[in-house]
This record gives sequence, structure tokens and C-alpha cells, in this order.
Amino acid sequence: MTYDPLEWTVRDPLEDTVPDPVPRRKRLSDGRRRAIEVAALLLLIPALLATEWIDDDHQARNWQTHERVTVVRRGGIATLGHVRLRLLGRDTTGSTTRAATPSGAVTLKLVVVARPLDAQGVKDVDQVGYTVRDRAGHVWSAGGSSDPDVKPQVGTDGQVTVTAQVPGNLINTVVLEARPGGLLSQKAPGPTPVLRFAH
Amino acid sequence: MITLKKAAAAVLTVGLMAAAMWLYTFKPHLEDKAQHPLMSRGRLGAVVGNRDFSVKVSRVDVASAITKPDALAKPTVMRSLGIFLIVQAQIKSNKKPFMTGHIRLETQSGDEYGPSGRAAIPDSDNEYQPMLWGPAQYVFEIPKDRLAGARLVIGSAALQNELSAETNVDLGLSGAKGARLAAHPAASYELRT
Repeated sequence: MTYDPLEWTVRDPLEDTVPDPVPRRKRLSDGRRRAIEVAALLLLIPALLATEWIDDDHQARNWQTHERVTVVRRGGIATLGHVRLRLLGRDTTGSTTRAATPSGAVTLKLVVVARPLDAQGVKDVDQVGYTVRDRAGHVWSAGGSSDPDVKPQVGTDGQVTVTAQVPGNLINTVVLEARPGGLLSQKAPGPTPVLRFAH
Repeated sequence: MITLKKAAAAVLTVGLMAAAMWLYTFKPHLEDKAQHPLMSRGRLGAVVGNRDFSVKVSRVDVASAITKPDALAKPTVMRSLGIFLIVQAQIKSNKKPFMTGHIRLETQSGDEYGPSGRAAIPDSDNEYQPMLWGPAQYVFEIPKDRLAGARLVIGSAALQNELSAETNVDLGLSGAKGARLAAHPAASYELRT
């Protein structure tokens, strides 16, 4: 039987089933080992929390609802993507609504001039989403409609009539907002650009 | 002595692992509970609201058949093996355009019924706007013995999260009233179109 001196060096030093024939001292004292363990824990726990935080942050970006609001002064022109928009006027006479609409609602009409800046703008002009809002942050749906016989053209102004049902007492105070709607809203990462037309 | 210690440590380890696995079985239930919408409760005639929307149930009818008028032909009569429960409500949004969803009728026994689903009965899937009360009508078809104590639950059509809200309205059908209506429903209810 041959004696392999290396056999003992690869054994688990904590294994005590066979007395260690090679006298050796502990590489680390108990106190020092515990200090290293505590330091490792103190590093690992914040690292774990930070990793989870970053992961959650990345996931939350897919659900982000941040908006970058640009306030357009009265009569001013603003660009939303590839479309230039201008609020031409508003009809606040509050025409009587249809029977199917909620009680207390009046119809607000806003006329917007939209000019596609390029070929992409021609596609985008019908995708612009409209809403109206008051100072308290309430938001009402609004729908834009344009003459179906007039096709949008690059560099040419087109008229869009935006209609919304709003409470009668707020018809003079609500403001129009335009934002990318439909497929347009899924294009760019980061905050959604919003145009708010002052009046 | 060392063997005894090791055996005790092994038993303790196995016990702790079993306890951890047992506790882990609660995780899905806790996560499920965390996803439950926040519930506002109220009763017939009262405004029940949350930060997203408000509901006011104005009327409840019980009938064994529903008649749908037709301007050009004979009215369509739909009969039920159980009963029809017709709920009239007013809904408004409190913040931004809102669509109702997950509408159901909760019974005293814990059963849940969705709207009747009959093609001839239109769903109230309107969009509701802030500060404007809009009408809603829900028709449920349920067995007679499930009427007493029924409650209407209305939620949001949007994707649910931990802060989603629902309203739970007591339709005032508990006790004698529920039993009487279940035993003697109206012969027919005419739908308003």
C-alpha cells in the first residue's frame, strides 16, 4: 500500500471522521471568519435589494404613464410627431345633446388645423388622440373627425373637428389635449408627448 | 453523543424544510388576495363610489320573461327556466373616461352569475365620463332560489392591479322581499331600447 501525501490535502478540512495526520493551524480565526461573514451579508443584502429595485424599475417602464406636457399658447402652433397642430376655435354654445347622452352634458366642438409635415405625418394625422380636461384633472373623451373626401397631404392644412361631451358648467373652462393615439402611442419609449392648448 | 447531535440536526433540518414548504403553499393565496380589487359596499338607492367611479342602483325588477319590442315585427318574448333580474343603475366616472367590467351578481350562497349573455339582450358597455351620470342596465338570469340576498358587483374593464376598485351593492333582496319576488315574479318585463 502506497502513501499518497496529497490525498490528505484535498480532503474537507472540516471532516473529522479521520484524524488529520498533518498538523495544521486554522487559516482564519473564528472572530475573523465571522467578521467576513457579516461583511459579506452586509454587501449581499443591499445588492439583492438593489437588483430587485432595478428589475422592478425596468418592468415598470413598460407600464409607464409619464407624459411630457407642452402648453401651447392661444393661437399657437405646435408639433406632435410628424403633424403640426393649431387650435383654430371652439364652439361653446353647448348645443343640446342627444337623448342617449348623460344628463347635464353639453357638446363642445373644437376646430383644429392639422398639417402633415411629411409622408409619415399623412399616416399619423388620423391617429392623433384627443381629450379635454379641466383644472381639477378630470379628463373627458373627445373624438376627432375630418372630411372623408379630403385626403391629408404633406404641407397642406386639414381641418379636424373635435367633439366632446362635458358638463355644462365647464364648457368654457376645459382645455384640449392631443397625444399620439392608436399605433402611434406604442412607438417611442419614454414619456408620451402631450400638447395642451390654452385658450 | 456526536451521532445523536447529528441525528437531531437532521431531524430539525427536515422539519424546517417541511415547514418552509407548508408555508410556501400559502404564497399563491396571499398573492391572489393582494390582487383582489378594493371593494366599496353600499345598498340600493345610495351612491357607492371609489376614486375611479360611482354607482347608484335605482331600480331592481324580477320577471319570469323579458319582452323586447320591435318596431317592425312582433316583440320578442324570452322566457327563463329560472327568473330574470333586471338592475337599473346610474354610473359616472370620477377621474377619466371609464368602462365598466367584471360585472356579476353575487348570491348569498357565494355563487356568482354574469349578465345573461342572451344575444337579444344588449349589454351596457358604455364609456362613462367624469361628473356625468350615465344609465346602465344589467340583466341576470338565475335560479329562483338564488335571488334572496343577491348583490351587484361592478368593476373596471381595465387591466386589474392591486389598486383596482369594485363596488358591491346590496340590491335589497334579502329576507321576505327576496322570497316574495322569487315566488311571484312579474309575468314579463319590457326592455327599453
